[in-house]
Amino acid sequence: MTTRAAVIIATGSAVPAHIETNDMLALRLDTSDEWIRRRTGIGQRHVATTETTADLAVAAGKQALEALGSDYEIDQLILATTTPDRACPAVAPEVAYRLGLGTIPAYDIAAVCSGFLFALRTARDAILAGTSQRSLVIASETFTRLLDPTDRATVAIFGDGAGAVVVEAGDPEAPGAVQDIRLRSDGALADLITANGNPSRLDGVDGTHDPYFHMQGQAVFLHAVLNMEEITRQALDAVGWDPDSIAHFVGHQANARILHAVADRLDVDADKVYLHLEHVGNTAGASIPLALDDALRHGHILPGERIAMASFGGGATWGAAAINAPALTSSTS
Amino acid sequence: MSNTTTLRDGFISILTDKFGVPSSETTNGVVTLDELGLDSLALVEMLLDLQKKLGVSIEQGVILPELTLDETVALIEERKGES
Repeated sequence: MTTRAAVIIATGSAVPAHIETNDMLALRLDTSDEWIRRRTGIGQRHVATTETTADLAVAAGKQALEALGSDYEIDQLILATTTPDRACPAVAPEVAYRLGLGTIPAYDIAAVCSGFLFALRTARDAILAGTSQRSLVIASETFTRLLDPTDRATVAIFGDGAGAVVVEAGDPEAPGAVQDIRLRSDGALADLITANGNPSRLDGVDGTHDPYFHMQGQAVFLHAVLNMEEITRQALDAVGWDPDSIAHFVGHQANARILHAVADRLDVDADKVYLHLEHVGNTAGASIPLALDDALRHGHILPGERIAMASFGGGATWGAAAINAPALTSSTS
Repeated sequence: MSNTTTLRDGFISILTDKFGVPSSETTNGVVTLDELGLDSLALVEMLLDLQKKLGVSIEQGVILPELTLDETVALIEERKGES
């Protein structure tokens, strides 16, 4: 009997049209391009104006599906988002409908910046269990809508966007094979990363009526680095990949300094850290598939190469994956 | 070489190698970390380096930007002694 694996066979991505550079932010906030770049590695971000989370998800999903042609049947859609357009219903059914996927099961997963890995793990598990042959996984965020527009600390960091992958049952030796993917969460760290304006609790958990996103920067940095290092090491150990053997580290694009700190502790060369955030900022749960699609599209990552992925986000949630780079990229740019 | 000298040298190496602090600025023990140009995230990066390179564990929030170089070395020595 052939071993069954979940294999990424296509990718796609989308960002809103409007770009805000660091210099544009400096016109209305007490900040500068130099300060933002030094602190985060970010140069600009795309900000949704009219686009919704569903719009971006449809655009990214469409790109991934078009790369496959018309002979591929999708049997489930899993959509990771922390910024659904409505508290009810979920975003995924609308996206499935707009993509012409019929009445397949479509549902949202919320794991903040770890959203993509949580969704990918769910898809992989369904494929391994035999309940899905081919899943569409999308992570889509309009995170800038959670931000206090006067808060330079968060406005400088986040951007909006979506990334998508199609995962199907296939050969573990194939390019795109998910070799290992593992997740963790710890609610004791729930207050590290918050946006209390969830429509279901408009007064905010702490009664401050502050709806905006907040992050305890130093604590998040520390927990992110330590947990991403540990879980990445576990994922690589599980498949017998020495950290030195990976070709690329595609981590959640939170902050270049976090990614470099994780790589340093893993003894992974700094030049293996894929940095996409300079162009799009931190797109929360969407950042890993956005970075992956960008790297594949530009030939920075080649089919079959060993990739380590890792994320840390609100919850707290974190995860890591060991993946062979997919062979296919999106059909359009 | 005494343990104290080793820890001070190790800490100064982190300052110069990791954070690009000029060696000439590390001879003044009363200069603060803030004056050396370390931002809030750099203080966390420093904790990670202290653990990895010197084997000293210090919890987040203890090393503050207003600490002087000498005070930080003293704290590192104290924590090393406890481990």
